[in-house]
Order: sequence, then structure tokens, then C-alpha cells
Amino acid sequence: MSARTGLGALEVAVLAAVAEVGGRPGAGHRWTTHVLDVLESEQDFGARYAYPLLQDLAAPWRRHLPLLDPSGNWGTKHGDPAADARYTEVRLSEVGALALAAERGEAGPVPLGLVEGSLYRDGPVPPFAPDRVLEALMTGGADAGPPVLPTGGTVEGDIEALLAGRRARLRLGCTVVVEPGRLVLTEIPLGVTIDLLVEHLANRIAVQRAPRHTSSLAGCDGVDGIPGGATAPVLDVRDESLFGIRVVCVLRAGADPDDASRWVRSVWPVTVEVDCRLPAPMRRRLAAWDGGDGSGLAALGALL
Amino acid sequence: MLNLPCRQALLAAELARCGAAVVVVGGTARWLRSGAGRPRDLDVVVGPSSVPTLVRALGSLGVAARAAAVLRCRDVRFATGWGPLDVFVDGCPPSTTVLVEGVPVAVMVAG
Repeated sequence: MSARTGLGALEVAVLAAVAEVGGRPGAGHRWTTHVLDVLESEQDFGARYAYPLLQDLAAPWRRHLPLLDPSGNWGTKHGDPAADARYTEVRLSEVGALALAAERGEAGPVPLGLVEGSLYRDGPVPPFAPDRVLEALMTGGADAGPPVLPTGGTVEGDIEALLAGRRARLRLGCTVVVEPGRLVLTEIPLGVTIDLLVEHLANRIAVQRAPRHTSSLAGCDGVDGIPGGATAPVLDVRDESLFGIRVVCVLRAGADPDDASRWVRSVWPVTVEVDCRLPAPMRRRLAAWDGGDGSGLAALGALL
Repeated sequence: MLNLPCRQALLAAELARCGAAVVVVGGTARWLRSGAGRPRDLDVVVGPSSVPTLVRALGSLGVAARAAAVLRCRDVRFATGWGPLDVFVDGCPPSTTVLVEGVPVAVMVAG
């Protein structure tokens, strides 16, 4: 991992390849196949490996600060696949160009590793809010707040242990908004697609449509149980997402919204669990970060 | 916070309710026996002859599976509305019965 940006070697190679074909911010987009050709010829990094990496670096539902600015169908939050690379184009985002400049010593270091972590690629380090990280680094603060996902949603668990550098199991969840007669999911956990969410909600509703036993597990462990065996308090699920996320769970007549919310949150992947661990206590990570002449930090601040 | 370890137990109960002859192993088995630990997923062992029944049970939970693929791969992960399910095709270990939702669930005895 690069000390100047926190990016991996392959991620840096992707940025360099996009720049090599002229895909700079302000310039036009470049054919993705040209980028993939450069990665194949210079890095022996074939398209079947490289294209998914490009998609990750371009997706705002994966990273707070996408490094690539895509054009065409690069996939969706629903989980739709990207178009073939022959039909998509790409260039560096402003942040991507800054990261590449930092890697080449043309700008000071930028704390992308501190911001993005590694959870977006199934690593153990969760992301943090870019503005909070930046503020902490600029002021010498020791706190960048709790993890914040680029997809929004909730992050629960032993945050204190996590920030102290200990292993912690985090529960990432959808944001659930109560409306008359329904619950609306407006934000999703990192790594979860809307289609997956709707599919499993529909499956659970179908399985629990008929009246059944009341959960014998409610109250186990001395905390709230999940009403898994009772009739689902949700009648139907509809995906009304257009520009944002809006997954509507229609409540059964007379269903208590709090009970229904608990039931909805019991469905995987409305909530998912991930085991996280920072490479060092957050306070130490912030203190140890070397910003060089500060130009990278200032440039990143101007972009946020 | 929700008691999410229950999610794995509820999935085991649903599978048993649908007739799947599986034995719960791993972290969920330990949790069902003693309440210890925090399983992240459900691990089950199924005998080769019981794979078709398991596949039918998964189908009734909305999970697409093919018996031939399960038998070929032997260790298979499925995504379900109760979380991930890891299936291991093998001889079933000694088990005891735990009631979940009033449904008898076979749980591996402590080794």
C-alpha cells in the first residue's frame, strides 16, 4: 500500500493507465478498452481482472471519493452489470488525478487510505467521513468520528473498540424511514445491491405470509429477539428507486411500525455483519499520517 | 440492538421445517448448544443422499440451487433472507436435537 495515498499498487497502475491514454479531468473520456490494453501490456494485468477493479474505483456506492469518472453503463446500485468494456469510456476524476499526482510526487500525500479503508474491497478497515478525516489531519485532531459508509445507512457495534484498534463486529444496516402504512428503505449497507435487498425481503415475506408460531427465540440472550416465526408484518415490497433509493415495505393492516421495523431489519441483507479491525488505533493513524508539505491535503480539501 | 445470532437459528429451523435433513455445525451449533459466540452465518452438513431434499427446502425459501452442482462442489455458499448459508456435503456428524421455533433442529454434539 502506498504511503502517499493509501492506494494499492494495482489501483495506482489503473490511474496511470487512464492518464496514459489521455483520460484527464477536463479532457474527453477515453475508451475503456484502451486503458485495459495499457494495463495488459505494461502490467500483465488482464481485462477479466482489471475491468472489475475499474468499476470499483468509479462507483460512488463503493467509495466516498471515486477515482475514476465513468461514461456509459458502469453498473448500478441495483446490481446491474456494467456494459462490455468496448461500450464504456472513462477518465480520471479530480480526486483520481490528485491521487496520481501525489503518487508521482507532484503533490503532497492525500489520505485516501484513511478515508476509504478497505471494506469496499472486502478488507477489514471501514471507511470514514472524508470531511472529518480532513479536519482531523488539518487541525491535529485525534478523532475522525465513527465509520461512515459511502452508501449511507447505519453502522452499529462496538465503535469504541474499533477506534482503539481492537477487532469489532459491525452491523451495517439500511436507513428505515416510517411513512403512513409503510416503511421505506432509503440507504443500504456497503456491498449490498438494491435487487438483492428486494429479492430477500420478498422471499422472507413469502415464507412468513401464513400465520405461524410466535418466535421461541424472542428474548434470548436477554436482548431483543427477532420475530422470525410469526407472520411477517410486511405484506409486500416494492422497489420505487429512481434517482435515489426507495424500497417500500407495505405494512400489514394494524402492524406496529416499530415491530415491523425490527422484522425488516432482521432480514439479510437489510442488515449485514462484518468483522472489522483498524491497522492501528485511529488516534495513532491520524497522528502518524505524514502530509508532507500539506499541498495534497489542501488540494483534497478544495475538492470536497 | 437486534439479536442477530438468532437469524442463523431461524434459518436452521426453516430448513428443518421444510424437511431438509441437515446437521448444524460450527459457530451456530455452539451458539444453539450453549449461547456462546456470535455466528456470522449458518454452516450445515448434509449427506449426499439428502441433497435433493435440501435443494427443495432451499427452493421453498426462495433460494435457487441445483442438486447436481451441490454434489459436484460439495462446499457451497448460498445467500438467504436469513443470511449466508454454507453447505458441506459429507457424512453427518453425531448430533443432538434442539428445539427452535418448536421445530427439532439437529445440532452437532460438542467435540
